[in-house]
Amino acid sequence: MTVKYLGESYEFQSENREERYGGDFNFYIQWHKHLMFACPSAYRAPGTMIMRDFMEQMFIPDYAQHPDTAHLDIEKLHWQLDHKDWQPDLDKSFADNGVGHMSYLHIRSPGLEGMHGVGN
Amino acid sequence: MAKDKRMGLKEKYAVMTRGLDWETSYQPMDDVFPYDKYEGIKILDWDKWADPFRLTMDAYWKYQSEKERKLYAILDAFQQNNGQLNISDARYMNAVKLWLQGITPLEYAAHRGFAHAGRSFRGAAARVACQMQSIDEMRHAQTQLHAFSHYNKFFNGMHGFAHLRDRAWYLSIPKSFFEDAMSAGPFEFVTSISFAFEYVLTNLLFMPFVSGAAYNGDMATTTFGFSAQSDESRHMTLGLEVVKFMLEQHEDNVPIVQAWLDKWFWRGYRLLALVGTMMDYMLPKKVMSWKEAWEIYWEENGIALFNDLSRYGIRLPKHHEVATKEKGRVTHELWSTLYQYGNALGLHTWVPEDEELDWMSEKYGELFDTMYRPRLLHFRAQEETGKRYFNNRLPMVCQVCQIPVFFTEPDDPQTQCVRIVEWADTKHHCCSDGCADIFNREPEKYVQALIPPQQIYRGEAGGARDIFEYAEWLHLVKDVDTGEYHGSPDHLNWEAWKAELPTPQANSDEAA
Repeated sequence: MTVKYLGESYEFQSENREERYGGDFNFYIQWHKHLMFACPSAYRAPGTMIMRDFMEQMFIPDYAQHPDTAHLDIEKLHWQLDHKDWQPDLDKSFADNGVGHMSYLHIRSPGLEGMHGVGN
Repeated sequence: MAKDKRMGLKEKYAVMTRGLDWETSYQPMDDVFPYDKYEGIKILDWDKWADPFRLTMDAYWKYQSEKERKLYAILDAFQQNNGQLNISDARYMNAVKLWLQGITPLEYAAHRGFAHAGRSFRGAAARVACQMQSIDEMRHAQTQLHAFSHYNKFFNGMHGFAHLRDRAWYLSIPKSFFEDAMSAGPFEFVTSISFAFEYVLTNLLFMPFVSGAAYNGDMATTTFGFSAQSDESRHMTLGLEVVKFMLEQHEDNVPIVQAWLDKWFWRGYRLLALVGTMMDYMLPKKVMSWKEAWEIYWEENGIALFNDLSRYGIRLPKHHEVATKEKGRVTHELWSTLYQYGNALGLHTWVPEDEELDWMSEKYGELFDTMYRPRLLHFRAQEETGKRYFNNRLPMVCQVCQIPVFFTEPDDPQTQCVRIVEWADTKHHCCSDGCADIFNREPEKYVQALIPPQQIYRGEAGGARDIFEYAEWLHLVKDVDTGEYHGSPDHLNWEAWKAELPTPQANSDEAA
C-alpha cells in the first residue's frame, strides 16, 4: 500500500539516508539477555572501522556497568546480522563484513545470560 | 400581548448550523472543499449527520465563560494558599511536568487539527462540531498552562515546555503521534483523535491524570480536569458519531475505517505507555495499576464497544491481543528506560520506595518479583555506592511510534522485540508488528520521520556530541532539571519546605 495524496506526487527520501553521515554510517547493536540496557544501542562509525576495535574500544566501555562485561569473550559470541545467523571476521572492517547503514547486529554470549536468572 | 418570537433550542440549532450553509454556485463545491474526498470516504447524504450534542455558538460561549470563571477563582485561591505544599510528595510533580511537556502541546495541536477539519467537511453540522472542539482544545491548552504556571515558580523542568516539545527525544512520541494525524486527511484525523483516542482510549488518559492529581493533593490539575470534563464528553460523542456516520454512508468506507482503527488503536496504545508509567511510578499515592486500568477500560469496555460495531463489519483492532499480553510489563520496561536515559529528560527518575515495590508486587505478581524488582534493586544498590546507573549510549528508536525500542517479544519478556522494515532499499526499525504494519501501509510517510538519536549522530541537534551536550541543547540544566530525584533541588527544597526551613536551592531559571 502507499499513501493517498492530493497533488502530482508524494515522493520523499529517507530522512536518515547514509549520505548525511559524512562518510560514516549508522548501525545498531543488541546484547541478548542484558535488559539492564533497555534498548539496542545506536552508533555512528566509519565503515572502515575494524570490528575488533569497535568491540574493544566502544562496545565494552559502553557496557562496562554490567557485571557480565568483565567476563565477555568477544571470540565466543553468537552473532546475527539483521536477524540472520552470521559470523563476522573481527579483524576485518564493518564494510568488509557486510555491515552497512542501518544494520542491526545482535550478539549472544553463551554462559553470560544477564543478572537474576532472567536476563537483566 | 405580543407573541414570543424567540426560537426553541432545536430550531435555533438548525438555523445556526445547517441554516448558515449554502451550495456554492460561482465555484464548484469540490474546489471549495478539496480535502474531503481524496481519502476514499464516500458520503451520500451529509444531512444524515446527527450531531449528538446540539449546541449553538452563543450557548457555547455562555457555558464556557461560566466554567472559566469558576476555574480561575479556584486557581487564585490555590495560589494564594500555597497549594503547592499540599501535594503528596515532590516526586508527584513529575506527573505534572510530563503533562505540561507532553500533553498540553497536544491540546494545542488538537486545536489546529480540528480547525483544519472544521474547514474541510462539506457537511455544515460536522464543520460546526469540529470548530467548537477546536476552540475547546485551545482553551484546554491555555487553562492547563495557567493551572501549571504556579508550580513553575517552585519546581524545575517546567521552564521551556514549547522548546522541549520540539527537541526532546521522549516528547517526539506525543508530537509525532499528533503530527501523523494532522498530516492525514480530515476523516482520518477525526477517526484518530475523536474516536480512537478520545473515545476508545480516553479513560486511560484522563482517569490516571485527573484521579492521580486528586489522590495526590494537586487541586490545580484536579480543578482543570473537572472543568474540561463536559467538553471531553462532547468530544467523545463526536468521535462515535463520525465513525458511525462513515460506516452507515457507504459499505466501501468499512475497510478504510477498519485500517484507520487498526493503526490508531496501536498508535494510541503505544502513546499510553507514557501514561501507564506515570500511573505506576510517578504517583506517590497510587490510583490503580496500569494493568488494572487496561483490564477495565480496554478488555471490558473497549472490547464491548468494538463488539457493538461488529454489525457494521468492524472487527477488533489488529494486535490488540499483543497489547493485552504486554499489560504486566510495559510500564516497568519504560520506567527502566526513562531511568537510564535520565540525563536527557526534563523529569526526575528514581527507584521506588519499598512500600511502592510491595504495591507493584501485589498488582503485577510473579513477573514483577522475578524480573523487575531485582532490576530496580540493582539500580538502587548502584546508586547507594555512588554509581547511579545511566546508559552511556543513545537508543534505537521506532520509526513509527518514536519510542525507544525497549519492548520485549509478546511471548517472551526476556527477548527484545525489533522488526526491520524496508523502503526504497533503506532499512528502518520498528518496535513491534503493530508499528511495522503501520510503516508498511504508508512507508513514504514514515521514512520522513525525524528520529532524535539519528538527528544527534548526523550533527543536527545543535552539534551535540553526547547526551550532556544534547541536554544543553534542550535547555535542560544537568542534575537540576535532569537525572536522579534523590538529592535534586526539587527533592532538597521539598524536604526544607516540609520542615519549614528556608529554600536551600535556586530553581533552574536562576541557576542557568
